[in-house]
Amino acid sequence: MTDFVQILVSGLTVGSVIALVAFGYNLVFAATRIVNFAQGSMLVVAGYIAFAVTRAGVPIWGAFLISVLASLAVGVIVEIVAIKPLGRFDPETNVGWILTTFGVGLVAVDLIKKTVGAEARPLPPLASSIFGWKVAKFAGVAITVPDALLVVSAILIVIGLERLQTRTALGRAFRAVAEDRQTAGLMGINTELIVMITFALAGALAAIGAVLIAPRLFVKLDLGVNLGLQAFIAAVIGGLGSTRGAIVGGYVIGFTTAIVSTVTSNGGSWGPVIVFVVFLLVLVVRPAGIFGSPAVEKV
Amino acid sequence: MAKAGTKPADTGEVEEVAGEFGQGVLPLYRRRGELIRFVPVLLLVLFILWFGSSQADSRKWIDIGTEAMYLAIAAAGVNILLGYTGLLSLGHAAFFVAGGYAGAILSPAIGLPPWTGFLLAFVGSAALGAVLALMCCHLHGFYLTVVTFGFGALVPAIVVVAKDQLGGPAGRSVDHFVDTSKVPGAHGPFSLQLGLFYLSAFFLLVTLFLCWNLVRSRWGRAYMAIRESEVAARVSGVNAYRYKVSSFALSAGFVGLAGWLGAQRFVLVSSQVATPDQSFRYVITVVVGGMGTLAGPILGAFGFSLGFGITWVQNTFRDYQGLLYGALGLIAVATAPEGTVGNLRRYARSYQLRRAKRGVAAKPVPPPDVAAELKRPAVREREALEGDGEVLRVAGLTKRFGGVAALSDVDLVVKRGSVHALIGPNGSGKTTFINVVTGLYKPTAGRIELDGTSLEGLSPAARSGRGLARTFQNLQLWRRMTVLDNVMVGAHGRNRVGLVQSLLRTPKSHRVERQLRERAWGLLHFVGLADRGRDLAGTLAFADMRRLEIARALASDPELLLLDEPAAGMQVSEIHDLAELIRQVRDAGVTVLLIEHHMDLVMGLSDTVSVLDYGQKIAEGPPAQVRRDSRVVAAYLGEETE
Amino acid sequence: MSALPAEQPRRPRPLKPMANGKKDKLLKVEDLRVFYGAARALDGVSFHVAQGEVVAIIGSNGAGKSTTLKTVSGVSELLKTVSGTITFAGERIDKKHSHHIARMGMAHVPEGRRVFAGSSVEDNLLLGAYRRRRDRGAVSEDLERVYERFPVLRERRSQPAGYLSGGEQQMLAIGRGLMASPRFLLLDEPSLGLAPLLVSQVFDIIAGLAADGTTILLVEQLAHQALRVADRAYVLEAGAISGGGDAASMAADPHVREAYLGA
Repeated sequence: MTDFVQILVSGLTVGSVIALVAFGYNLVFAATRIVNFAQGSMLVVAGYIAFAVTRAGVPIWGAFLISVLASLAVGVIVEIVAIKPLGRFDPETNVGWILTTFGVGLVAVDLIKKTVGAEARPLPPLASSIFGWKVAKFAGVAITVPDALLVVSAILIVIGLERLQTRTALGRAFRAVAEDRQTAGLMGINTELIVMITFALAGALAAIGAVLIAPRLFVKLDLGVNLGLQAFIAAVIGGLGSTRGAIVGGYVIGFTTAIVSTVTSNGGSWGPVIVFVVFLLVLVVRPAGIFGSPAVEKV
Repeated sequence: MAKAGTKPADTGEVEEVAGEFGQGVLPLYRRRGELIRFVPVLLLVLFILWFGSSQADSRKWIDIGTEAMYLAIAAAGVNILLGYTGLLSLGHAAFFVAGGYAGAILSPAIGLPPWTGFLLAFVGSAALGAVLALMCCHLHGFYLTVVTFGFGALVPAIVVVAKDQLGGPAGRSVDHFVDTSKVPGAHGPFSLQLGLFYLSAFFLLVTLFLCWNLVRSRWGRAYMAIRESEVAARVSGVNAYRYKVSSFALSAGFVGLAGWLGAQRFVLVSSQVATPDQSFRYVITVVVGGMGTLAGPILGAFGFSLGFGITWVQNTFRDYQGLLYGALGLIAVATAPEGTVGNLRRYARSYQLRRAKRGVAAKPVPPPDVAAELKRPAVREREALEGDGEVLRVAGLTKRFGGVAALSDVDLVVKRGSVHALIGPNGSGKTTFINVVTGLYKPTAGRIELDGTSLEGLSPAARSGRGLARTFQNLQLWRRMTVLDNVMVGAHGRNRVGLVQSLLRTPKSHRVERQLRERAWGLLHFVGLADRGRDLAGTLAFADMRRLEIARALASDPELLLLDEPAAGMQVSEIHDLAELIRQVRDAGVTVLLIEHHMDLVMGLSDTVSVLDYGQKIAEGPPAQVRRDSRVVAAYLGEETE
Repeated sequence: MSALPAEQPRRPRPLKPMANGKKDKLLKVEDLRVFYGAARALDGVSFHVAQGEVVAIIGSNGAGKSTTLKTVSGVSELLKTVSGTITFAGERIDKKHSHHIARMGMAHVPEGRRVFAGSSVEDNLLLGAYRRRRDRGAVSEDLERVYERFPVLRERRSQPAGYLSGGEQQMLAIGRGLMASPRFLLLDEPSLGLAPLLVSQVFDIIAGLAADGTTILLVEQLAHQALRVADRAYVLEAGAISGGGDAASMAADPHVREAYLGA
């Protein structure tokens, strides 16, 4: 029983961590058909900003807000540096953006290393207790408030993003720009501004993710790489461009990893292998992912 | 590496063409007056010798030199896939590790002498590369890269799991490494390392030789054609899937070879180097050096390896390699996608242009002359069959996209030796028709017979082999290849040469090359583009581009030539010339099916005209008759309203 | 088509106030030359559309009709180079982006309809009103009006636009254009891919729009239909205007037929 609950808790929390980052990939892809390979790095940058602000004495909620605002700018910077210079291009065939976003990510991480240093930084959690309740124990498994906050936030964000994409004019514009940029322009939509906005929002999502995740995982440099990779895989498995896909993908990885580590002795090593195998299977069999729409093969 | 911009001197023989991509190491078979092209290789060899002798006392620099050599091999491998075939892989670092395991651990383990490890390293990695290719070559662009990325992440994860066999994250030490102190030239206090340096340099030269041969062969041309326009490659007879797989395998093999050399250097094989970052670095090395050139990867690899040897660079960037590669990646992709070599060539060309403007022109090299019978389209030999008068017979052809019928029960017969036109208003199904006949779409129903045999189930490349050729309305030329290369690829299916033969440039491959080249020059004479043969196809004037597409299509010796709106975008005088060319094609014995809007061209040229409207044939007959048909008028101008 | 739009009356020849024979030129195009890379699409085209007019540009395929519209509405395409002047409501627009021009009140119903197949019918219509999205009340009213004009769209309002038939998509594309409450409507080959019966109905709709006073520039291959609804027309051949005049006289002109089927 303990095992089962452990898997449940572990899968949900790890899955939510991954999902929080995967949302960023998903949002950018939903509007631009580009995968922002710098997403993981934006998370790390946001984390370090939050850390620096808390060190200056600002309480965590203030640091959270500042980090989110600053990350809007970070997102815009990433877009200006990695995407704008490429001009007009079709993301599906002309894949230079893979190299530029990847490159920006590497540069960002190294810049942090140079300016702030490579040590892992702690961040206080947003809420360590709710009405005095710090930790719940259930069937021998500890559930802390930050963990619960993670899971709840992930779900709230899914709902929020879905509303954004389906009910607002901006969301409609995102879909239009992704599907047919030329015609979107004819509607009066400033497509370049839309692209910039999605990157800014991806930055904000990265900041939200960083502050929620940091208490568990600390803010460190390779966090971006590891988490970024897992979140990317989650987004692809769930279906790039689908918010639901991002969270489902996150849970798929979270639960797979949890099951594998509980079941096997060599758990730590087999986890990644299974995840990558699933990833490749999905790509080969159904590249669009669980919730994605299959692409039409152009002749 | 390459002497940019030089043209081969006129020796009166049919010569090697200095294509834009492919200038590089001279063939070991010398051409008179082309000694100048030996120079880059000579420089490289001299550099190697100088480096080896002057740094014999510096362990650090010898190691750096060795690394420069094998990274150049790896970069050359990545360049085959990325620069020539146009496929981006972010997982190639996995092959470096695979090569190390296969060549340095597995090979001695099964009893082979250590120095033969390179074979297993190359072949094993190539096989693994083929596995990856089979997983992703049916995908395009972004998704293909994502699969390579996943693969590249999977391999080190497997190594970690297979602790016992493969050593886990710490790797496995190489117990039987090559005793490189026995390599000729190795001497001094670090003879082992120096020997490895020379060994690596040797393999680099071998790699260069093989790559040069590859690029100058029909395999290399096929790769580039796939890069520039895969659909055009397919209809010209290139089985794109198979070629992509071979490109993956070759590139993986070279990276594996580099991995074997790396294993010798570190006496260790570790999966630490198989990270996405490392794969990214390979790509950046190739991009910054110059994609699609022979010199580019070498320049890039030398630049990075030797550059990191400089103490200042090392101190500043040792821990910040991500910054360096990332920033270079950003700059290179956004501003200088041609890389260093590409930009050098551009400067050389503009320098030549400026000199030409001042009147100091290089003597233009006249195109070689070829035998007269090569200067016209050849019609294949075939046995006289019944129904010989028909080249193409289409019966009941239907094509549905979702619920919409783009073609509906179309019957068409094209008589041998005629010019048959297919016209119809926008959206009537003409393009769909040609795409179905050439095999790019599968028909929903109906039969297509060429020369009496059914084309059902045949790929576009196979149909090209049967005698079907086409041009494209929106021009699918391979613009970064020379005009001559474009035509040579057109004849891709006519002579086959194996990959190994092409790599080694055997006499047979040499002979086939010459035949292809002569044939291509002949066809260029036929369409009037012979004096542009050595120029890049992208520099042609628009009307000439259309002629080039026709020459390319004729290169496969087709029975039936399908022209898809060849007059679109042309001016009136150009259309006249086009009509004359089409007449000559017909007179040479090739049947022509012409899809066109320019009514004057159609009416003046065709023997029969068929009219499509809403996917159905509504009229057929001689031009004058069709033009007066009221249904045709209604199709074009709409129903008469009161 | 299940629900047909209400039968629109034939468009009467309008009685326009001729103040000194001059009308406000809403759109003026002078000496437009367009190249796609090395291919020439338009070679010095000049024409104008006055306020309240319906002008048609007719010609066979490849003549450059769609290129003309796309250049007027500012659609940027790969390798396109443009020279010449385009003036809309007194302002030069030849260097402006398409979204800017759309916000000036020009609505372009593209060739092949180009509805957003993944979005619902209603979302498509709302997207048409993007530039007015803050004015929710007016947008809702216009949405109602579009649904009244095209009842079939109301039936299918939550379905993905990709599931609609060709004729329905054409109505959706026109409806989407109307949602912008435009001063100037560009219609690009409305008959494309539609069965003859649908073509008639679509042109009835266009005639209705014209009767309401919308200024329209229409490019169309089917000359007879276009001349039915237009006031004036130009003939485009191989990238240049080879003739023009008022619609009635052009309908009888044999030159028009030659432009399509050769001399």
